[in-house]
Amino acid sequence: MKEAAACLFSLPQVLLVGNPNTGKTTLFNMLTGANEHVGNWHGVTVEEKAKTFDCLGKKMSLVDLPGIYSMSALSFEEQVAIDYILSHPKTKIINICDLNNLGRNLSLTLGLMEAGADVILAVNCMDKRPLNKVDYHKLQELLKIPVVEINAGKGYGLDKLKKLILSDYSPSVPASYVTSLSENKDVFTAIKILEGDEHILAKQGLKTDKNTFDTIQKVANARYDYIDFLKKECFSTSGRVYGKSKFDKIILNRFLALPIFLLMLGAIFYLTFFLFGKWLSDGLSYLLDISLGRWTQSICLTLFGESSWVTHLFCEAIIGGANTVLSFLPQVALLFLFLSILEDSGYLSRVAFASEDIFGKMGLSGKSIYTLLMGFGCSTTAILTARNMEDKNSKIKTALVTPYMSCSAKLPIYAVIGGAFFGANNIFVIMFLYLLGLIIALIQSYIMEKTVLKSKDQSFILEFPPYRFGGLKRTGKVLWDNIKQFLIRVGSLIMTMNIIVWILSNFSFDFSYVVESGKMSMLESFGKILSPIFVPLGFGSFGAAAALVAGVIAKEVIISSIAMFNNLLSDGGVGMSIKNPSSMVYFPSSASALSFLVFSLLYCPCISSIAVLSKEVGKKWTIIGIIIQFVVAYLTALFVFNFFGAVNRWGWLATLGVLICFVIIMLSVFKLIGVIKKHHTCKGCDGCK
Amino acid sequence: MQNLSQAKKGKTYKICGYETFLPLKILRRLNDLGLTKGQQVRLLNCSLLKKALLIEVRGYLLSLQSSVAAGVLIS
Repeated sequence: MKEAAACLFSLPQVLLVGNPNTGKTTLFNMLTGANEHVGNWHGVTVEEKAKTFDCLGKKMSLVDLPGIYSMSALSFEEQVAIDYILSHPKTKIINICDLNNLGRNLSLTLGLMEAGADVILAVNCMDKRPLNKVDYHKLQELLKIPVVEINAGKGYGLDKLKKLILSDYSPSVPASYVTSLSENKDVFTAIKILEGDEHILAKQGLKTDKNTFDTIQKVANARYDYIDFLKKECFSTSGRVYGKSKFDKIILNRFLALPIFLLMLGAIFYLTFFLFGKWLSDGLSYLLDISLGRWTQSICLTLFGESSWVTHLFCEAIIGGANTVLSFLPQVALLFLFLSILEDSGYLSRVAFASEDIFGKMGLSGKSIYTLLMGFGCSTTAILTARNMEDKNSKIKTALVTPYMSCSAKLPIYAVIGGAFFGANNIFVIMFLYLLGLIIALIQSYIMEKTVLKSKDQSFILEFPPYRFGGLKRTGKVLWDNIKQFLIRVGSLIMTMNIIVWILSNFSFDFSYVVESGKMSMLESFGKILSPIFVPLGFGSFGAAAALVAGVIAKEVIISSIAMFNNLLSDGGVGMSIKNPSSMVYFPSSASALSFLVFSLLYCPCISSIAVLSKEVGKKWTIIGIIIQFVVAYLTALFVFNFFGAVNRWGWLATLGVLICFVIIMLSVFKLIGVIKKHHTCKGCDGCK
Repeated sequence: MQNLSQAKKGKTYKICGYETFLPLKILRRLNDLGLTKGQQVRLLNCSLLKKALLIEVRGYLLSLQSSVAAGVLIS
């Protein structure tokens, strides 16, 4: 692994640079055969990624960078790209531009040329009917850099591009507009000083002055005047507006925008949890049971006999536990597919626009919706995308609340436990859980905004991409990738965890098999210490506590542990067993089941999310975040359990009445504390000092 | 002279400058995105509480926070 990395850096490098969402990663995947995540959003790639590729027989290393608009950064991922470019001078740069928006894209090209970079302009033509037609010959002549038309998705023009990468030419003479700006030899530094770029100024020991405000505009005007000149010389434009669509009239309607979004989410979860998803999962579960399950059982029985612990290990932990999780494959794959279609469609920018109202107030940004929505799939990868934020505090807030989003690993818990207790009403329970995660995320972010993590310079400037459908081929690929990832995960991490949990729950501290010796298992001894904590939440069985602890490693393990504890070889499956008082994990009422669901939704990020969190926001905030999550989960579950318990006992009206009285009392207490505090800070009294 | 956050839906305006309260970072970004002096912009849409605006500039769509738009002078 290390050798490969070293080899990667010793090879000649080629950088992929361009505006966000112009197809850099698509080209990267095409050239290197990699499988990096792409989407129709500005800022899918948030860190540099390198891989070797074969450039007409020569081995080279291709570096994919996050998208940038200019050589001055606003958000974190842009700074990554700019730092990388500036720390690798004299490196070949492929500057990808979107043909449909070439004018705006060229402003970055000029910026790169100012930096003296060795630029190849690759114009990506993604559509059959592009908005612009360009005379590439003339453009090449005027810009004095090589220009090539490509189609990154289809692989058109790549050989020509490779030839250009290998060909040598001296980096371009600065375009005519540059000389009119400055006679300084280091044009880039000069321009950045004029523009008051904080990074460059700090390096030169300078500060911005009064004129900076005007010079920024003059520099931009000079660039765009030159682009207008290029446009006049070599473009013919259709006059259509890039990204504009008839759908936007309805989708961006002031009053309809958010309801449409919520409806769409509801539809996605309905399709995943019920209809298709459920049919497929039930079918798969049955198939796995009669094939893998039965085979293992009969093989083990003949080899080891019924009472041997080896038989039980194989049947319960290795195959049984994995089967429980595996049967959710169709639902998980379907959920990821829907998220990917949503991401590819270009709709998310519209949602970000519509949710800026609320999110801005809550201390986040409309852009956070992308991170949060990706969190419905997997929080680990979602947290990384918080780099889209511009303000450090906004980034920390977004990253810390992402684990509240109900990720795909929690899906089996809702399906099994919710399904057992709520039946057809489970759709409402599931919608409630997803919304609860979102609402708690917003509340936490709001409280943080008002106390310790105030956003200072978070702005919202976002380009709208056109609506797109990735096509059937891409859909199939996304589906296959997710199935593969899920199978690998079940086969490695989850199976290992199942075996560990099984051994802990079937062996005592002196390693005797509990079924034979009748001693207390290791898990039971541990679980009994923890379980009193959960008694107020309604699920005081030590098995539930143990499942939650195991779930910190991976949330899927919660449901497979419960299945193992309740001996899934018994009839009726997991769903029936959790209603049976003699089971290890037993929920006495629907209120306690709901409280367990709420607790598992909120309680703790999984281990890989914790690792990413501590990398992205630092150890201090990660620890604080986890503690807050645990407390929030505990209090919410406590409330849910008691509220629904009360509803069952007294009925809706009485419970609501009591709740309202309680809120009034709490408010008066707060008010009273406020009054006392005010009294303390009065000017006339020296008593407090 | 008015600012972009006061613009009327569907109307086209010309950018004639910037308010000095805009942070330099934001000013640079707006200019990099092509909202240069003299450029034509059109307000297409705004969100429910008018915190976000959607404009058309240089042949593409850009959404902006209204507090940023308040720093763009138009006529």
